[in-house]
Amino acid sequence: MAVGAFTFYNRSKNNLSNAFTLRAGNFRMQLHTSASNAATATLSTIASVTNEVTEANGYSSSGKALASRVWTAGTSAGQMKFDGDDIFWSANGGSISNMKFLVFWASGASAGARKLLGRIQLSTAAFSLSAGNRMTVQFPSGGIFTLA
Amino acid sequence: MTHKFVVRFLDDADALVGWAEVQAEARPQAPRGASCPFWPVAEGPTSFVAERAATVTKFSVHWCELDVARVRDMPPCALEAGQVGLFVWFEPVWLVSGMRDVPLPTVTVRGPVTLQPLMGELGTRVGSQ
Repeated sequence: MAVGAFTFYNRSKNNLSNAFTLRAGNFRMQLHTSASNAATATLSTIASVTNEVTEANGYSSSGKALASRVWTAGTSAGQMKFDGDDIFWSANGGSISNMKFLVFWASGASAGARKLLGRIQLSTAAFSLSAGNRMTVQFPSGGIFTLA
Repeated sequence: MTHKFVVRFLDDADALVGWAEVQAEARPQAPRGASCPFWPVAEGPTSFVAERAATVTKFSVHWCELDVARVRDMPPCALEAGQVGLFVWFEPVWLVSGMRDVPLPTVTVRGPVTLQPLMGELGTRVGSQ
Protein backbone atom coordinates (compact mmCIF):
# COMPACT_ATOMS: atom_id res chain seq x y z
CA MET A 1 0.00 0.00 0.00
CA ALA A 2 1.38 3.33 -0.97
CA VAL A 3 -0.33 6.19 0.84
CA GLY A 4 -0.72 9.50 -0.93
CA ALA A 5 -0.73 13.07 0.34
CA PHE A 6 -3.72 15.15 1.34
CA THR A 7 -5.04 16.66 -1.88
CA PHE A 8 -7.51 19.51 -2.26
CA TYR A 9 -10.50 19.53 -4.51
CA ASN A 10 -10.49 22.45 -6.91
CA ARG A 11 -13.57 24.06 -5.40
CA SER A 12 -12.40 23.67 -1.83
CA LYS A 13 -9.91 26.51 -2.26
CA ASN A 14 -12.75 28.80 -3.20
CA ASN A 15 -14.94 27.44 -0.42
CA LEU A 16 -12.31 28.48 2.12
CA SER A 17 -13.43 32.04 1.61
CA ASN A 18 -17.18 31.64 1.63
CA ALA A 19 -18.44 28.21 2.69
CA PHE A 20 -16.44 27.16 5.70
CA THR A 21 -13.53 28.21 7.83
CA LEU A 22 -10.59 26.09 8.81
CA ARG A 23 -10.46 27.65 12.27
CA ALA A 24 -14.08 27.17 13.27
CA GLY A 25 -15.56 24.63 10.88
CA ASN A 26 -16.49 21.08 11.72
CA PHE A 27 -15.13 18.48 9.39
CA ARG A 28 -15.78 14.80 8.84
CA MET A 29 -13.88 12.02 7.13
CA GLN A 30 -15.39 9.06 5.35
CA LEU A 31 -14.09 6.09 3.43
CA HIS A 32 -14.72 5.32 -0.21
CA THR A 33 -14.11 2.27 -2.35
CA SER A 34 -12.00 1.73 -5.43
CA ALA A 35 -15.12 2.25 -7.55
CA SER A 36 -15.54 5.79 -6.20
CA ASN A 37 -15.01 8.98 -8.16
CA ALA A 38 -13.30 10.49 -5.10
CA ALA A 39 -10.15 11.30 -7.07
CA THR A 40 -12.05 13.61 -9.43
CA ALA A 41 -10.74 17.08 -8.65
CA THR A 42 -13.86 18.94 -9.78
CA LEU A 43 -16.28 17.51 -7.24
CA SER A 44 -17.96 19.99 -4.94
CA THR A 45 -20.07 18.39 -2.21
CA ILE A 46 -19.88 15.08 -0.38
CA ALA A 47 -23.15 14.06 -2.02
CA SER A 48 -21.37 14.00 -5.37
CA VAL A 49 -18.76 11.49 -4.20
CA THR A 50 -19.87 8.00 -5.11
CA ASN A 51 -19.37 4.61 -3.50
CA GLU A 52 -18.84 5.18 0.18
CA VAL A 53 -17.69 2.05 1.98
CA THR A 54 -20.67 -0.09 2.96
CA GLU A 55 -21.97 0.58 6.45
CA ALA A 56 -21.22 -2.60 8.37
CA ASN A 57 -18.84 -4.27 10.77
CA GLY A 58 -17.59 -1.13 12.48
CA TYR A 59 -17.97 1.39 9.69
CA SER A 60 -20.86 3.85 9.84
CA SER A 61 -21.93 5.91 6.87
CA SER A 62 -20.75 9.52 6.90
CA GLY A 63 -17.62 8.38 8.68
CA LYS A 64 -16.23 10.12 11.71
CA ALA A 65 -15.66 13.68 12.84
CA LEU A 66 -12.20 15.17 12.73
CA ALA A 67 -11.50 15.64 16.44
CA SER A 68 -9.28 18.33 17.93
CA ARG A 69 -9.22 20.25 14.68
CA VAL A 70 -6.77 23.15 14.75
CA TRP A 71 -5.74 25.87 12.35
CA THR A 72 -2.64 27.24 13.93
CA ALA A 73 0.96 28.26 13.41
CA GLY A 74 3.06 25.63 11.69
CA THR A 75 6.68 24.67 11.94
CA SER A 76 8.13 27.80 10.37
CA ALA A 77 7.47 31.50 10.50
CA GLY A 78 4.56 32.42 8.34
CA GLN A 79 3.29 28.88 7.95
CA MET A 80 -0.14 27.76 9.10
CA LYS A 81 -1.18 24.19 9.52
CA PHE A 82 -4.48 22.35 9.58
CA ASP A 83 -4.42 19.36 11.87
CA GLY A 84 -6.52 17.02 13.96
CA ASP A 85 -6.42 13.75 15.82
CA ASP A 86 -5.46 10.58 14.02
CA ILE A 87 -8.45 8.48 13.09
CA PHE A 88 -9.11 4.78 13.13
CA TRP A 89 -11.73 2.21 12.29
CA SER A 90 -11.94 -1.21 13.90
CA ALA A 91 -13.54 -4.12 12.09
CA ASN A 92 -16.00 -5.94 14.33
CA GLY A 93 -18.01 -9.00 13.41
CA GLY A 94 -16.76 -9.03 9.84
CA SER A 95 -14.57 -7.16 7.41
CA ILE A 96 -14.68 -3.52 6.48
CA SER A 97 -14.44 -3.97 2.75
CA ASN A 98 -12.84 -2.21 -0.16
CA MET A 99 -11.20 0.90 1.30
CA LYS A 100 -9.21 3.18 -0.96
CA PHE A 101 -9.98 6.87 -0.29
CA LEU A 102 -10.41 9.00 2.81
CA VAL A 103 -12.52 12.04 1.97
CA PHE A 104 -12.69 15.18 4.13
CA TRP A 105 -15.79 17.35 4.06
CA ALA A 106 -17.38 20.17 6.02
CA SER A 107 -20.39 19.41 8.14
CA GLY A 108 -23.49 21.35 7.14
CA ALA A 109 -27.21 21.40 7.73
CA SER A 110 -28.07 20.78 4.09
CA ALA A 111 -26.54 18.59 1.42
CA GLY A 112 -25.45 21.69 -0.49
CA ALA A 113 -23.57 22.97 2.54
CA ARG A 114 -21.53 19.81 2.94
CA LYS A 115 -18.60 21.01 0.88
CA LEU A 116 -15.57 18.92 0.13
CA LEU A 117 -12.21 19.84 1.58
CA GLY A 118 -9.87 17.18 0.23
CA ARG A 119 -8.98 13.52 0.04
CA ILE A 120 -6.20 11.07 0.72
CA GLN A 121 -5.65 7.96 -1.36
CA LEU A 122 -4.95 5.36 1.30
CA SER A 123 -3.61 2.77 -1.08
CA THR A 124 -2.94 2.31 -4.76
CA ALA A 125 -5.20 -0.75 -4.66
CA ALA A 126 -8.21 -1.17 -2.42
CA PHE A 127 -7.97 -3.31 0.68
CA SER A 128 -10.27 -4.80 3.29
CA LEU A 129 -9.72 -5.06 7.02
CA SER A 130 -10.58 -8.38 8.64
CA ALA A 131 -12.55 -8.67 11.87
CA GLY A 132 -10.68 -7.89 15.06
CA ASN A 133 -8.23 -5.49 13.48
CA ARG A 134 -7.81 -1.74 13.42
CA MET A 135 -6.88 0.55 10.55
CA THR A 136 -5.35 3.81 11.76
CA VAL A 137 -4.64 6.88 9.66
CA GLN A 138 -1.78 8.68 11.35
CA PHE A 139 -1.57 12.24 10.11
CA PRO A 140 1.85 13.87 9.69
CA SER A 141 3.27 15.60 12.74
CA GLY A 142 3.50 18.81 10.73
CA GLY A 143 -0.23 18.81 10.03
CA ILE A 144 -2.70 17.34 7.58
CA PHE A 145 -1.87 20.25 5.28
CA THR A 146 -0.11 23.57 5.49
CA LEU A 147 -0.36 27.04 4.02
CA ALA A 148 3.14 28.39 3.59
CA MET B 1 17.00 -0.73 -3.13
CA THR B 2 14.01 -2.84 -2.27
CA HIS B 3 10.38 -2.00 -2.69
CA LYS B 4 7.16 -3.56 -1.51
CA PHE B 5 5.25 -5.61 -4.02
CA VAL B 6 1.96 -7.40 -3.50
CA VAL B 7 1.63 -10.74 -5.23
CA ARG B 8 -1.94 -11.94 -5.70
CA PHE B 9 -2.91 -15.46 -6.62
CA LEU B 10 -6.06 -15.57 -8.71
CA ASP B 11 -8.51 -18.05 -10.14
CA ASP B 12 -9.85 -18.14 -13.69
CA ALA B 13 -12.36 -15.41 -12.90
CA ASP B 14 -9.58 -13.13 -11.60
CA ALA B 15 -10.91 -13.49 -8.07
CA LEU B 16 -8.46 -13.50 -5.20
CA VAL B 17 -7.43 -16.82 -3.69
CA GLY B 18 -4.51 -15.59 -1.59
CA TRP B 19 -1.86 -12.94 -1.49
CA ALA B 20 1.57 -12.19 -0.12
CA GLU B 21 3.72 -9.13 0.45
CA VAL B 22 7.14 -9.48 -1.13
CA GLN B 23 10.19 -7.26 -0.77
CA ALA B 24 11.89 -7.15 -4.12
CA GLU B 25 14.26 -5.20 -6.28
CA ALA B 26 13.30 -3.63 -9.55
CA ARG B 27 16.36 -3.47 -11.76
CA PRO B 28 15.91 -1.17 -14.74
CA GLN B 29 17.95 -2.31 -17.71
CA ALA B 30 18.82 0.33 -20.26
CA PRO B 31 18.56 -1.81 -23.39
CA ARG B 32 14.98 -2.74 -22.52
CA GLY B 33 13.73 0.83 -22.26
CA ALA B 34 11.13 1.70 -19.66
CA SER B 35 10.87 -1.76 -18.17
CA CYS B 36 12.47 -3.70 -15.38
CA PRO B 37 12.41 -7.18 -13.95
CA PHE B 38 11.04 -7.97 -10.49
CA TRP B 39 13.56 -9.81 -8.32
CA PRO B 40 12.39 -11.03 -4.89
CA VAL B 41 15.03 -10.35 -2.24
CA ALA B 42 14.36 -13.46 -0.17
CA GLU B 43 15.65 -16.71 -1.54
CA GLY B 44 13.21 -19.56 -1.79
CA PRO B 45 9.52 -19.68 -2.53
CA THR B 46 6.87 -17.16 -1.54
CA SER B 47 4.21 -18.59 0.75
CA PHE B 48 0.60 -17.52 0.94
CA VAL B 49 -2.56 -18.77 2.63
CA ALA B 50 -5.53 -19.73 0.48
CA GLU B 51 -8.49 -17.71 1.72
CA ARG B 52 -10.95 -20.13 0.08
CA ALA B 53 -10.96 -23.37 -1.84
CA ALA B 54 -10.11 -22.64 -5.46
CA THR B 55 -7.77 -23.42 -8.30
CA VAL B 56 -5.08 -20.82 -8.80
CA THR B 57 -4.37 -20.22 -12.47
CA LYS B 58 -2.82 -16.74 -12.49
CA PHE B 59 -0.75 -14.47 -10.36
CA SER B 60 -0.24 -10.73 -10.40
CA VAL B 61 2.74 -8.67 -9.32
CA HIS B 62 1.76 -5.20 -8.12
CA TRP B 63 4.41 -2.53 -7.52
CA CYS B 64 2.38 -0.57 -5.01
CA GLU B 65 4.29 2.71 -5.00
CA LEU B 66 4.01 3.11 -8.75
CA ASP B 67 0.70 1.30 -9.12
CA VAL B 68 2.14 -0.81 -11.91
CA ALA B 69 1.01 -4.40 -12.19
CA ARG B 70 1.28 -7.43 -14.39
CA VAL B 71 -0.89 -10.53 -14.48
CA ARG B 72 0.61 -13.81 -15.68
CA ASP B 73 -0.74 -17.30 -16.16
CA MET B 74 0.66 -20.16 -14.12
CA PRO B 75 0.11 -23.91 -14.02
CA PRO B 76 -3.23 -24.66 -12.27
CA CYS B 77 -2.91 -25.45 -8.59
CA ALA B 78 -5.93 -26.55 -6.53
CA LEU B 79 -5.95 -25.36 -2.92
CA GLU B 80 -8.24 -25.82 0.06
CA ALA B 81 -9.18 -22.92 2.33
CA GLY B 82 -6.43 -22.35 4.86
CA GLN B 83 -3.88 -24.34 2.91
CA VAL B 84 -0.48 -22.74 2.49
CA GLY B 85 0.68 -22.40 -1.08
CA LEU B 86 4.32 -22.14 -2.05
CA PHE B 87 5.25 -20.27 -5.18
CA VAL B 88 8.71 -20.67 -6.67
CA TRP B 89 10.13 -17.75 -8.63
CA PHE B 90 11.94 -19.45 -11.45
CA GLU B 91 12.18 -16.37 -13.68
CA PRO B 92 11.78 -12.63 -13.21
CA VAL B 93 8.52 -10.88 -13.98
CA TRP B 94 8.95 -7.92 -16.27
CA LEU B 95 7.15 -4.76 -15.31
CA VAL B 96 6.70 -2.18 -18.01
CA SER B 97 5.85 1.47 -17.69
CA GLY B 98 2.22 1.97 -18.66
CA MET B 99 0.88 -1.13 -16.91
CA ARG B 100 -1.43 1.04 -14.87
CA ASP B 101 -5.07 0.56 -13.95
CA VAL B 102 -4.75 -3.19 -14.15
CA PRO B 103 -7.90 -4.53 -12.44
CA LEU B 104 -6.82 -6.28 -9.25
CA PRO B 105 -9.02 -7.77 -6.54
CA THR B 106 -9.06 -6.32 -3.06
CA VAL B 107 -6.70 -7.89 -0.56
CA THR B 108 -7.72 -8.43 3.06
CA VAL B 109 -5.39 -7.14 5.78
CA ARG B 110 -5.39 -9.60 8.67
CA GLY B 111 -3.60 -7.50 11.27
CA PRO B 112 -3.56 -3.94 12.57
CA VAL B 113 -2.43 -1.43 9.98
CA THR B 114 -1.26 2.17 10.36
CA LEU B 115 -1.26 4.40 7.31
CA GLN B 116 0.86 7.53 7.25
CA PRO B 117 -0.22 9.93 4.54
CA LEU B 118 2.01 12.72 3.34
CA MET B 119 1.28 16.31 4.27
CA GLY B 120 -0.71 18.40 1.82
CA GLU B 121 0.07 21.95 0.82
CA LEU B 122 -2.46 24.66 0.15
CA GLY B 123 0.07 26.89 -1.53
CA THR B 124 3.61 28.17 -1.41
CA ARG B 125 5.13 31.53 -0.67
CA VAL B 126 8.36 32.72 -2.22
CA GLY B 127 11.12 32.48 0.34
CA SER B 128 9.16 30.27 2.71
CA GLN B 129 11.06 27.66 4.64
